[in-house]
Amino acid sequence: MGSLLAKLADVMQSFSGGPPSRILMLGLDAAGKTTVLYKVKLNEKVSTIPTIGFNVEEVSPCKGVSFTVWDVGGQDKLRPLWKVYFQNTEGLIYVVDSNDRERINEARDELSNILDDDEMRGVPVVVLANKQDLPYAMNTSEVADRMGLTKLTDRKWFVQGACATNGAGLFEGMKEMARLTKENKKNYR
Amino acid sequence: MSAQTEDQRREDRESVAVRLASLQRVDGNKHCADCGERAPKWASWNLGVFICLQCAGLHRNHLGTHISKIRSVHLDAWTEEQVANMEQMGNIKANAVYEANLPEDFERPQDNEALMKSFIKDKYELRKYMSTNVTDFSIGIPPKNGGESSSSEKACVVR
Repeated sequence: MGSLLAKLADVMQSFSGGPPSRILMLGLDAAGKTTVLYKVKLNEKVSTIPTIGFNVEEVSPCKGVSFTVWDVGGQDKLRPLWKVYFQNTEGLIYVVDSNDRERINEARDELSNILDDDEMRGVPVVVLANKQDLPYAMNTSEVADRMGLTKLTDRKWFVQGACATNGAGLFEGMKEMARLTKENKKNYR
Repeated sequence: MSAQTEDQRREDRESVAVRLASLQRVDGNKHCADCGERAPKWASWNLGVFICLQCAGLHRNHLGTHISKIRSVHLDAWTEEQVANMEQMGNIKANAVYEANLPEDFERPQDNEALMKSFIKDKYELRKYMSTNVTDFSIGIPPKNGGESSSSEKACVVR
C-alpha cells in the first residue's frame, strides 16, 4: 500500500514537473542579473540598484517548468561569497555584459573559477550574452569563443543572446536551462 | 605571473583604500555629482565622479559601460589607473565640464526617477550641458560614446 502511494506521488509529481529546480545566476557586476530575474518573474523592466547580498525568486518561465533562481551580487568583494550558494545547484545561468569588451576576460576567469569547484561538477550552464542592444555588443559566437565555452567538455552548455530590458532571448535561455537540468537529472538516475 | 609578493599587494590595496578615502573628503566629492545626495559611496571611474547608490543604478541601467564604468568604493577592488583617474577629475572638475551650460535655475530632480534618468542621459551621453571650451579640461574626458579604444586611452591620465 505504502509503495503504491509512493508510486502515485511519483506519477503526480512527474505531471506537475516536480519541485522547482535550484538555479544559480551569477556574473560580473552590472551584467544585468537582477534585471533578468525580474523581467522573467514580472515581465517588467524594473529599475535596479547594485545588488548587495542576493535576490531569490520562484519563477515559472514556461509551462511545466519552475525554478528557484538565486541572483547574487557581483561586485569584486562579493564574489568570494558565491561559493556559499553552490551546494545542490542544478543549473547555472551566467550573465555577461556583451558590450563590455574590456572585462570579457575577467568574466571568463570568474566563470572558470565557478566551474572548477567540486560542488559545481557537471552542472549545466547557460550563458546569457546580455545587452545585445548596445552599440559595441559582441555577438553570441564571439561571446562563446571569448568565454572559452567552446573548450568546455565536462558539462552541457548553451549560449543565448539576450536583451533583458525588453526580454529578448530570456524565454529561450530559460527553456534551454530547463531542458539541460532535466537531462542532467535523468543521467543521474 | 607577477613577481609581486603578497605583502606588496596588500600594501597596494591599502594605499588605494587610503587614497579613495581621502578623495571622498575633498569638497565636491562629499555630495553625489548627479543628485546631490550626501556621502556618495559609488563612483564612475572613467567619468571621474563620486555618485550615490541610486544614481549608480541609473548609470548602470541607462548608460552602458562604454559611457560610464561604475565601481563601489568599498565593494570593489580598484586598479591604479582607476584611482588615478578619480584623482585627476573629481566632482567639481567633472561638473565644471559636464554641467558647464546647465541653466542657472535648473533644479536637480532628486526624487523623480524618470527625470533623473533623462538628466543623466542628457549630461553624460548627449553631453547637452557640456562646456564647448573643453580644451582646458580635455585631460580625463573620455571620447563621446566610448568607442573601442582601450581603457588607458579613454582615461588618458597625464601625470
